[in-house]
Amino acid sequence: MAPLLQVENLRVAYASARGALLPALAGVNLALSPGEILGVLGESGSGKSTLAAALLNLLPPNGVIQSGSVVFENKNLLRASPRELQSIRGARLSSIFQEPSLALHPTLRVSQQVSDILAAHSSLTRAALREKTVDVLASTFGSEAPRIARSYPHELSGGQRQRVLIAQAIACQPALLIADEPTASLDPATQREILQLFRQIRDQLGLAILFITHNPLLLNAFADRILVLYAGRVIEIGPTEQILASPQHPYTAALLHSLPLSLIAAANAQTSRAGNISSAERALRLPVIPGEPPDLSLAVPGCRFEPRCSDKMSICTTAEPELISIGQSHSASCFKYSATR
Amino acid sequence: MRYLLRRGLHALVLLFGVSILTFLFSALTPGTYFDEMRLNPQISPETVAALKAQSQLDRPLPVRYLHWLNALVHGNLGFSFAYNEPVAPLLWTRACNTLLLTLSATLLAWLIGLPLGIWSASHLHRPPDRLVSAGTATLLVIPDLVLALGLLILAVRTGWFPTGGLTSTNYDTLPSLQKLRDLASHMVLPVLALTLSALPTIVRHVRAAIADELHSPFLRAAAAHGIPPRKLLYNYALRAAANPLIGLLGFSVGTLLSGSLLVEVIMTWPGLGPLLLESILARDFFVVIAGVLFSMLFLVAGNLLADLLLCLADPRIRNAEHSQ
Amino acid sequence: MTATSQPLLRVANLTKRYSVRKPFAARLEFIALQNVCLEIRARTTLALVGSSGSGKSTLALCIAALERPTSGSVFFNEQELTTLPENQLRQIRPQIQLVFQDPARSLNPRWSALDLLAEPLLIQNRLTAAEREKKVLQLLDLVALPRNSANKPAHQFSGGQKQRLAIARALALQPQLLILDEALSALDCSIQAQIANLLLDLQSQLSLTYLFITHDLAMAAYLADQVAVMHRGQLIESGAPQQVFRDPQHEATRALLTGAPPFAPNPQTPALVNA
Repeated sequence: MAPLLQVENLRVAYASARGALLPALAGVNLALSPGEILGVLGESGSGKSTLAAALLNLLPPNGVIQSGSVVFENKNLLRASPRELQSIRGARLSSIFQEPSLALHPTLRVSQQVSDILAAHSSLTRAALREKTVDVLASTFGSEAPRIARSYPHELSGGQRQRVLIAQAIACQPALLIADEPTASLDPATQREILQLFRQIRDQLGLAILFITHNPLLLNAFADRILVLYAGRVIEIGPTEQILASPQHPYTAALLHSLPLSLIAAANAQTSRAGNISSAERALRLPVIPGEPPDLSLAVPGCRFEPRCSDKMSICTTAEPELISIGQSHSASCFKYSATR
Repeated sequence: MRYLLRRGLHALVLLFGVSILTFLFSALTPGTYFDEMRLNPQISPETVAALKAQSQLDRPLPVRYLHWLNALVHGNLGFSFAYNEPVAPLLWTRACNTLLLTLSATLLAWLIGLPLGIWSASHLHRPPDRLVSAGTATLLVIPDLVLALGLLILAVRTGWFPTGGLTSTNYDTLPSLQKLRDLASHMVLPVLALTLSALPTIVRHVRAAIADELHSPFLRAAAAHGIPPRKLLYNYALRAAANPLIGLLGFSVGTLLSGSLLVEVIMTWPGLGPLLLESILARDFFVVIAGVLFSMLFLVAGNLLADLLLCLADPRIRNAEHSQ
Repeated sequence: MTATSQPLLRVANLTKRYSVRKPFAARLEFIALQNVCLEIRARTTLALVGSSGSGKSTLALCIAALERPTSGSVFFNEQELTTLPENQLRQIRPQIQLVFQDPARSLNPRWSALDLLAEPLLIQNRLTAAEREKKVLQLLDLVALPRNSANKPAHQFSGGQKQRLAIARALALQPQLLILDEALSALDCSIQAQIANLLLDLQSQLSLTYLFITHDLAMAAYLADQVAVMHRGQLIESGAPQQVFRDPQHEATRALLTGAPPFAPNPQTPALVNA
């Protein structure tokens, strides 16, 4: 099956005020099949938000696409005309960015903000637009849709605003939805609801989702595959269960082990039933990844994770690793796996 | 609704306060209209004394104020010493003349300024924007006085426009269409002067407000949904930028009566400005008070209008006022 | 480490009501806290968990004496805070400090690290400028921030570094109790781990007591000695983390736990299991 989205060698940088180029993405490759949920796991500085913006060709004014292609439904979005882009965005390829409270126009009613999208991509009459708007809102709000339609964004809770964003994104039944940290500012109960909603719309509409997050726990039992982004590069990619159960790249492994959940699990496995978990846990500190994400403005010949890596070798400072296939559709870019292959 | 009533009440109290202050200041300024008269040898001192007594200028201040207030409530604004006629009709004609100018100028300034500001903001920092910025900066720097005089000189040199006044001397003899043309031709220069002086402020404010909103997350999100650029600019950016612009509109309305004094005087337009000026110099008591009050009325109305529009335009303000 | 006889902080029957008045409608009363009682022993950590709107932040504000409760008392070192006049309260305030969720908003982005950390010292007004600078550098060491970043403006620090600054600022006046209101929630996962470890180190180094408000149950289990669960303004359950999370008594606690990553994972895969 032809991939829905194929990204090849995407390099993006930001121009600073003085004209210097700060790299953000250093050659990203990924492919997404129709109906697939791909989780992009990345922390601050990994380039995940840049990736989301670049896929839509909606970088801020100082963003520069240095090379690469983003082919969506057989069309290279990086070379498309503004008119073509405008007809694709929101209709075939839609997105949800961070901060739902800021992504909605403060003085327009919700119904207006949804019907504008419908109007931009179809030629319905005003009455038909009104009806369709309520339908679209009903898919995320159920019976509350008419009341929500009349409301203004500031009258809604965080979770409700997020539902409005999702409704906007699926209004024209797109093939791909890019969600950048859609649950970041919500409390856990609402987070679960929203994730549930995502699963629902994927099942109902068969759309593919590119779900960007820094929290691996959200991708558990949600994403089909996980792609790990670090320093603007793809460092690991594979099926979700494999990545979460046995991460191969040192960064992914360290990240997962730094979650308190892992520590508790490890403590449980170690202590006897009669042990006092608290003191046993306290003796075990969370294994953290030392240091900070790298400063990408400094060019470095070797692996970007090397300064913080616990498995580093001498080759890691001199050459940059490539993605190496480890298992079925599981690859990691680490020199640990090159010697044996 | 309650909000509006509250604001209306505030406005009334404000007008009251202003009337008292104006009354006080006018009454306390040294000299009366009759001082000039006394110097005139043709009028006998007895006449002056009689006229003075008639005008009740010798009564105590609070009494005079209450008298005046009472008359005001009955629609009587007092009597002009200089013009020897009741103030109300005098004021009314002059105010209408002023409004003719200022309404046209304000309308024109906004009709040009708003699109120009938007266009400038959508080409931020590029040549069209730089051109507009340079233009507005130049206009801002030129004082109104110089602007008006410059236009007058233009009129004199080219003879395209009359050099002052409301109408030509043969106005009454003209057929209606000609009358209109005559009036219009007299209006061109003062309206131009007023428009040019109001335009840069409007353009700059609009440009700044829109430029601010162009970076907003919601605009980016709307663009990501494929909303066409024109709609983004006018329906999204402009609406979000409306708040400060509504304030500016309120200010424009507020200065409808008071902002044109200089231009009216230079171009000898018989408006409220010159009347007020004369009356202050001549100590024409009742005209001064009525004139100031009338101007204040517009200022207050302008503010009220801005508040009302803000409530209508921004649901967040509507809700905030509601919960009080 | 023997526990002191009296708890450092004791909250008794704390109630907080807010009234909201809408036009043409009756006055609505919103009960944020209802008869909350809890204790925190010195040098321990109490995690306060609950869904949003359960009153956690309101409780924190009342304990920090930034809000006056409608009724009930707050005892800090056996001194009752709610009835103290402001000038006496001011003496106690340095003992109770807060760290908030979003360091981008709790720190003025234009101020340098030096200014931010010196500000509380300045307000207390007892040190010279040189002494202040020395103290600031010591604070930077405490939170593992490089000394040469003292003059950098706050907005140039990363999220995790900003939160370290916020913690350093809270420690400037040598408090006994630190209230952390969702202090880790806005950070990336790996940074959360770093800051959590920092907090534990600081606790043993400086004999601190923590009130840790969070909705991340795993982090609560990791950091806390005791857990208290709030629901709609009431404290519904409390106890040791393994007790409360393994064997919840109240339905609301169970609701919190369902869907949250489970705490009894498959021993074969120590990382994660399917929800």
